Amino acid sequence: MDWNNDGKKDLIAGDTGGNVTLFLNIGTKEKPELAKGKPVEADGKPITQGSHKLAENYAWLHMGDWTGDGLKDLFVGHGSILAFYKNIGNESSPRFAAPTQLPAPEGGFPTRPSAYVVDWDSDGKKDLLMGGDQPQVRFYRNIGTNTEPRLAKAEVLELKGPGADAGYRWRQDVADWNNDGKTDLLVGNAYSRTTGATRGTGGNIWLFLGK
Amino acid sequence: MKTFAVVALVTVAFGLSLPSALAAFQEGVRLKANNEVIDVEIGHLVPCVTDWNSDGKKDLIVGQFSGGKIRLYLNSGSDAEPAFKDFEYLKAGGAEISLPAG
Repeated sequence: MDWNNDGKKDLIAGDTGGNVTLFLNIGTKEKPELAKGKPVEADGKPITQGSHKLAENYAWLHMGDWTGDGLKDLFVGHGSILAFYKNIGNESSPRFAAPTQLPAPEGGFPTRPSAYVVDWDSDGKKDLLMGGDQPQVRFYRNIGTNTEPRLAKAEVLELKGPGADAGYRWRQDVADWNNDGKTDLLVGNAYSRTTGATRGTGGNIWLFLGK
Repeated sequence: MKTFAVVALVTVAFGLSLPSALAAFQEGVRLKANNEVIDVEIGHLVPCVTDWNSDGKKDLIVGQFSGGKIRLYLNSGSDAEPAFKDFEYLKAGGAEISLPAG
């Protein structure tokens, strides 16, 4: 993620306290070096549990342009809600408004949501993928426009693998993992160990290659 | 009325037979590092694919609950066939990142 459009990769990270931390790359492209973390603010206050009306504990992060103005907005999945922080800054200096909630379609969003902006059905309009508490990734089709998205009821993606449904809290990333031109999906999870003394712990990363 | 009903049925049937642009997936596999499945004791893993060191190969960054740490797996394979060995915990300001986790 390039926070300030300087061509170098930066890092943003969420945590269980609901904080959003920015680590700027003060090194080079080839040898990234991260500066000490700085809290990300919205409406002039660092985002943390209770800082804003919608800010809760936990923070699963994603940045993507949801309003069609070319600026990366910030999605923060808190414990029970998905908070949307619109970028009201500019490309090299993101600044965020107070959080709002995206209008949820019938069926709502999952608890502990993690959103991901992508044109999933290749219709030229960005959609939302969303992981959550359960072992699944949901697809919310945009039936509005790129500047005024409107989400259809979720479809659960068909993702299968031996033991994949054992782990919970699915968190997805989209990539062309093997450079075959097809969309692939990576999913991190929790509670994946189902036997033995450490049952109930564990976490894997699943790779689902596109057919 | 009868004509309308037929038209509606045809529309529904056509709608159902539209080819889907949605991606379909092969059976999933667990990613490995050092030839062993990546398995973090207190997981809650959050993967992020990115070419971290701009060498033209995708790397893997993984957030974990344990210690609130962030793993960096540099790609020791190729861009089309990523492979991973050891990871390092990402540092910031000279110290390992350790975010609140509890």
